[in-house]
Amino acid sequence: MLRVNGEDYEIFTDSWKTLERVLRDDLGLTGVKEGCNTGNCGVCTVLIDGKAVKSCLVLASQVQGKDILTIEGLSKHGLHPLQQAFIDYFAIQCGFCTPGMVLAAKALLDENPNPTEEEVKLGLSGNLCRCTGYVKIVEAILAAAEMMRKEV
Amino acid sequence: MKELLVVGKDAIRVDALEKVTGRAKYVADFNEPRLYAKVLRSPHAHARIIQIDTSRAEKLLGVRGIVRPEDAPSTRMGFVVCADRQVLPISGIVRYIGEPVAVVVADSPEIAEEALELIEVKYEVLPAVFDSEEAMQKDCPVVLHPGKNTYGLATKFGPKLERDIPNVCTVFRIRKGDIEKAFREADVIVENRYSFDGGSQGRAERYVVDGWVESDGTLTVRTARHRMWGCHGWLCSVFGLPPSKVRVMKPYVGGSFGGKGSPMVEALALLAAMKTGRRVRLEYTKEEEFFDTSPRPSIIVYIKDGVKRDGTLVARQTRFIINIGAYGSDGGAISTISCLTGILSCYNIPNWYSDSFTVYTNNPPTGTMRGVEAPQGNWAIESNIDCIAHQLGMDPLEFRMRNLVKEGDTSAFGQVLHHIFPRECLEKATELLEWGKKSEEKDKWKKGKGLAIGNYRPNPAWPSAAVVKVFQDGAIEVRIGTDEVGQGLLTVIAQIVAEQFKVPMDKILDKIKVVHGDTLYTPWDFASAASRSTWMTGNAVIRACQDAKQKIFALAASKFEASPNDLEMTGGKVYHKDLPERAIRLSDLFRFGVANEIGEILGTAGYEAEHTDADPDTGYSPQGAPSWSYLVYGAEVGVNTETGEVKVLKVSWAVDIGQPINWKMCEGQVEGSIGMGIGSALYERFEVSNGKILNPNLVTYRIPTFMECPTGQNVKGASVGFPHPDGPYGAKALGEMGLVPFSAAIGNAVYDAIRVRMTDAPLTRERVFKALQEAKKLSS
Repeated sequence: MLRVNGEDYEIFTDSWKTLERVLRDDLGLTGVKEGCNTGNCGVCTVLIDGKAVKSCLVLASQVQGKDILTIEGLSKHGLHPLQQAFIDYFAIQCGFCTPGMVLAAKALLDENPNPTEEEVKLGLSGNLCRCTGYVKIVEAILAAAEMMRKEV
Repeated sequence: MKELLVVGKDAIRVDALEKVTGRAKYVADFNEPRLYAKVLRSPHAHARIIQIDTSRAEKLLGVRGIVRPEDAPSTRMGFVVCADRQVLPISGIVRYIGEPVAVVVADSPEIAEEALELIEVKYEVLPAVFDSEEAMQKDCPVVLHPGKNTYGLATKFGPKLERDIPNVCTVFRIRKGDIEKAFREADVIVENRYSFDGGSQGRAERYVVDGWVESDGTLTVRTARHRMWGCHGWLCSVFGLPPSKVRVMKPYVGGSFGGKGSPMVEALALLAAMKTGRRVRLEYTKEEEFFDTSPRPSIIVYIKDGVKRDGTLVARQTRFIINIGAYGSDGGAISTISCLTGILSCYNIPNWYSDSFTVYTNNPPTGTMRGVEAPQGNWAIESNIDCIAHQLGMDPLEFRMRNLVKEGDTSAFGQVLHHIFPRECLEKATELLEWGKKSEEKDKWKKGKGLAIGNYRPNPAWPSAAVVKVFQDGAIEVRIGTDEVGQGLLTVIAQIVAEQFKVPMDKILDKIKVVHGDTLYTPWDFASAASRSTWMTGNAVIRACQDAKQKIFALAASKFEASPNDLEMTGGKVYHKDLPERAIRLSDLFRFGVANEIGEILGTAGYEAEHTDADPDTGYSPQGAPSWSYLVYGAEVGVNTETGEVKVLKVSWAVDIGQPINWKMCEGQVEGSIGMGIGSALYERFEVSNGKILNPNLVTYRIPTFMECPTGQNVKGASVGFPHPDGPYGAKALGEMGLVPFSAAIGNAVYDAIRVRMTDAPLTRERVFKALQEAKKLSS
């Protein structure tokens, strides 16, 4: 039994399957990307009980009963401020790292709503982007943080 | 220039919403029933295949077919200049560790993997050569391609096949002026050997291809690559099929940056599909992605520069030796000319002799990476320029200014240069970096500033085309054959169309649709490569829009009782130029029956840029490129004198790219190049031992993270150019140029910090540490 994006799923699958494969293959949540499979690139990042986790390093059977959030769940009720900021600040190029990057940023801001530039960089350093040089991603996250602080 | 409505404004990317919500589809996200293929690879760098026994593998439950070399066509395929590669080694020879030998097709990737273990191949191991300077000796006992002079060659684009030296693939020369005389007259000669190691494009997405055969026999692939149409052409020639019998689909792609030369993966997936009659997915592992998608070659550059005491550059002799590995067909063969591209229109040099060679070795075949080896050529030359300045006791900025080209000067290839603003780039970038102001230093960290200039151009060698459809509601669809790979092409094209039809910014997403990524629906184009898409496809799109507008005006002319030439349109309405208030809506035009039988209005156009291919024996090319762009980087680095670590603290930059279509996206190209450049300049390199890449993974081949890249106030850039009369709305080329002068700027900054000249890139801690030790030894 997996709880993904607020809904429960009964899944029969091989015990060795990673969460990433199950989310993609069994649930069709292809916003979870498959990258290096060694936990280095971060494109498969999802939130498990609010923490950013690389889903290629977790077996699906290990996370039963936990709350799993993918990019599809984040925008269920309209765009999250982080998503809007990624669009507005041109923090997206090829887009392959974007879902994982947005989710990792959400985990960071949920824990630290007012991060410095350095804290954003440190917090996201497990997610690689080859297109942007990170400049606009940092800008977007700082702008989203400000917007979210105002909303609260 | 008239006021622009949309071009030059920061329109939101048309693909941003899909990508940020995870709805954008990449190849691996398509989920039809299929089989899975895995590739059996050679464990030897050079060997003859004696026998392949697949009998045990075939018996494994779930194995649906095995493709053997004799199942593959014997055609040699090649990229641009050199057709030296077969899909599978029918000739029986493998030339690098990891060369595909056979393909297993099975119900799951795991079964396919298991079956690979059951295939037994008997090899006769042959002697191999890995060092390019050893391989290029005329009497080198190892010859990779004894039959190379008989291979079919496409000779477009400059370099020519070398017929006399067995392991040299292509050569390209510059012969300008009288080099001997110039060196005799020079006051100071500065001579150095530089090198740049091989490395990976490092894309986020792995190479993945779905291949199947349609019921009418059409070979179809859905592939994660740029150069969709190039792939289509190659597949036609490899399988001996007419264009209508091959279809290539390219959905969103997780980064490109070159590579993926020959359509190997596509061809293998198709062979697997033909063998089994089923849809087959061939997905590379990260390891395969690193070594077998035509990564960047390693390069050695010898430079001798001659200069007058007053700082006038008078002579240059260069020799580029490019280790392209086992095949040139993956793109390596063109680098004899492209290694020069990033510097050839920067300085006035009356005398320049250059010889460049691409050399076959038993390393994995290489291809192109952002700038097609122009960054490595630029690294060597811009480092040497710095050396000269310091040797003369001149400020490197002043020395560059003195020798810089200006309006009306000629490039190293003999092209007269117009509409160029390199001086403004140098001025702006150094101003942003506070050039000349010494940085504060703390204990073991020495700081320094460096700069470098580079140039680039849209490659005009192939034409472009576009189709535009105008619908009744004023919506416009544009079809293009170049590739969105993350760089923002779709948005650039949408902005150009919006400008043509005067669609306001906030209506772009609603009213303009860019159709791309499928050879079935798009007109032929060469590729998004060589920084050509904005210029070439952009110009084709403008002409297609004009064609559609002409048709609309012809239809509307009777309504206005006016000549079509007097009509104009904006926001979906047509009006008389003198009477803008008397406009009719496009939909009315359709409704009144004038056009209702057509239902849509089509505009089509091709675009060709007049150009000359460079003469391979002299480099002469009076119309080598339709425009030249410039980029200057200024960088401030910190060097840890105890460990050799280099940190990039600040980067400033200025570009002359004409009129930017979308400045935020232009910034994104340069900032992305800075991120990529930090890897290239400081630590990204293949560790290679006897033809084996030892670090084909992200654990041991590090690519820059947030922590190594300057952000915020530490990255400052500006545009200093002016619209180019022939560019689409005055735009020039940008994409690949970003990487071109970066490494040299870093190397020059490191010199400024520690007064030690680094000649081997990347500047790893180990190398800098050793150089510091050497320098200490010398000074004591």
